[in-house]
Amino acid sequence: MCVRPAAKKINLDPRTKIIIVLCLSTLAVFFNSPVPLIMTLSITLLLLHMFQVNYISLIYKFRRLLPALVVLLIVQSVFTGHGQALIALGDVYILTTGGLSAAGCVLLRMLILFGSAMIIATSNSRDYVLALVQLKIPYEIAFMVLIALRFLPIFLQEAKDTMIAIQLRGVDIQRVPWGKKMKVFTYIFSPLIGNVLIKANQLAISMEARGFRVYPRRTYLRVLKYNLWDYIVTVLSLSLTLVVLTLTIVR
Amino acid sequence: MAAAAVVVVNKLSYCYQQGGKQILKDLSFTVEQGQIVAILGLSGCGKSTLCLCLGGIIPHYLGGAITGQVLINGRDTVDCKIARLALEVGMVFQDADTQLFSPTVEDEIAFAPENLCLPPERIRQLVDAVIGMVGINHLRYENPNNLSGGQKHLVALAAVLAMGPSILVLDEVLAQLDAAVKKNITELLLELRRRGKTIILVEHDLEAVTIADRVLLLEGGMLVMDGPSSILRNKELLAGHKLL
Amino acid sequence: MAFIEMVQVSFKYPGQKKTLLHDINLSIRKDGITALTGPNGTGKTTLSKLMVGILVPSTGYITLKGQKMSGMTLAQIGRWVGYVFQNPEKQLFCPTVAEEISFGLQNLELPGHEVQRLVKESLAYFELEHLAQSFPLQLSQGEKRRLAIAAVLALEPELLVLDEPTTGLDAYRKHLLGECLDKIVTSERGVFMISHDNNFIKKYASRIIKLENGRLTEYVC
Repeated sequence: MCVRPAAKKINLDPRTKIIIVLCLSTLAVFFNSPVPLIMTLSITLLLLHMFQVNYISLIYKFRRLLPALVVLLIVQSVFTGHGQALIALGDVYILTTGGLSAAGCVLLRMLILFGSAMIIATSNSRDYVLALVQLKIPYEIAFMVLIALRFLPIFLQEAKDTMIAIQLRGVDIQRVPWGKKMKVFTYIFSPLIGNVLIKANQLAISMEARGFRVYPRRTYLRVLKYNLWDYIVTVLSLSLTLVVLTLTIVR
Repeated sequence: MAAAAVVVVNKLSYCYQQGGKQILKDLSFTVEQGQIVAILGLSGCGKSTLCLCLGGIIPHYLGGAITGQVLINGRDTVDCKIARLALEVGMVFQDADTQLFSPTVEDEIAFAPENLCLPPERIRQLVDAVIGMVGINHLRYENPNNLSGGQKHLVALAAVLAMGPSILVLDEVLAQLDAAVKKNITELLLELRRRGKTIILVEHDLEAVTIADRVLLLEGGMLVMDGPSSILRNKELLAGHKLL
Repeated sequence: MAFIEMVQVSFKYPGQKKTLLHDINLSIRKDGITALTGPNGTGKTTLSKLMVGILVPSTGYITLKGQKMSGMTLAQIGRWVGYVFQNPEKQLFCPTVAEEISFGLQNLELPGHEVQRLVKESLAYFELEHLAQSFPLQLSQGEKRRLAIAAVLALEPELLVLDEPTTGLDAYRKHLLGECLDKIVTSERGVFMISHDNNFIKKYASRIIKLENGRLTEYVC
């Protein structure tokens, strides 16, 4: 049914990817020590490599968040005081091995979740709507997800456009004092919220004007079909996750 | 034998709020099957509001105070849901951005046939046919977000054509297209008319409506002129109404 | 000296394989009305965004009044070049129509009464007086476009760049816009507009440039 340009990379059914991501995130939340988290991250990176995702360049794009991340890790390690003291002020432990381990776990979890998001992004949002519908989620709810994904970049672009328009009307955002900067940001939010409401209304009209919900059910141009690899990966992911969780709990 | 009247507007008046300014005042006209009708008028004269009434968006979505009647193929728009009316009246709005919500052009065009519960093979055929008709094969797998303004309008038109409505209402679509594309779409509209479709064009651009059989002129919400397309050659008349 | 000069400018959107603009060399003078025309999707809006510094060229450079644009902020560029988006909603961000027009004037540090006077004049000229306290996003498409033009013109830029300014305007308002553009030109400012409206271009443009397949293929004086 799918008439698309030939894809060279491995492409699993979106439902399989949802299951993979659920398993990875469950393990990321469940594990509390660096070694299993590193193993989970390795599996995530291997999957990203198989999906031909250039995760290094994607991580590089978020480099500006690095200072905030470092602060978060320092705070995490300072407030988790157990294990051997590495930096102490008298009886107050500033940095401990336990704290470093906890900070490391937070970082690893974030990387696993980030990697999971990248796995999700390897499929088209429309395919996820199909996946959710074929998982018996009502179309209207699945469609809400699609709309959110569809319009989020639009709203981000609108915010950027408004910022550009403000600057082109003589506001040098780098040089204005903080008070005025805050006022400038309200100029961005106000039309953005107004636009969200107006667009939501117009979108609803457009959808109905194309027969949305004219009948109780609808059909689909494309139907997702599980192939052998999807079954293998699904069974493997679920069983490995269950085994690991069980063993960890038992120990 | 006279063609059947597919659109009947009878003493239609409308204001967006009770007691507010009347946007449409006592409009009455009919449109016969297979006609191309141009609705002209200055900004704010009520053209787009009239379009919304023809599609049932007024009163179902936008509320307001409506009196009179709009009949589409004999059905009163007040008694018929927008989605049901959409099977008969295809609307392309001024702002293309809010009409496109799918990840690809192909998905966008398939949206309406999917709502009609057509089998996948039939949806595929319709999508292929419409894409060919509108001449946007090169945009098939593109994200509508990334298209130019004119291209978005072409996709919106294609998406509506996929429903197979017998009446098409285009609100300021042609004026946003470049000359070559405008020519192709004009030819497409003429072909659709030959196939029995009824087309209502709302435009500022007089050149875009030269294919019209009939011209309706709105001023201040009132129908001040309803005549043949030869009106478009009467420069004095058009200038008198500030259309030239 | 050209007011804006594009030298060997090529441009490709990030993540796209196709180069949209190839080796563009273009001089825009600060006089007359220059029209840029061409088929849909060929890069006209992209070129206009490069001209005002919203986008940065992949190769080549652009100068404004002899100075490289890469060394200027948007606020600095905005003092000389006014830009009206194809979709006017993108540049409307104030709670009322009157405030939209006064926003730029307030950044020029003009006295309050002078700002009010200029706003009143602008509202009258663009027939927006009755909408002075309205929320800009609730205006009709044509009214939004008039407001966007009014708000940008309030700053009296030396060059005005308009992307499809006649969309949504009826003949009467197009005539008003044309008169306004003529007025701008007689006050020693320039206009650069992107348009499909052949009648409008023929009537008002002193120079027509055509962009096709990413290149300026026609240059007609």
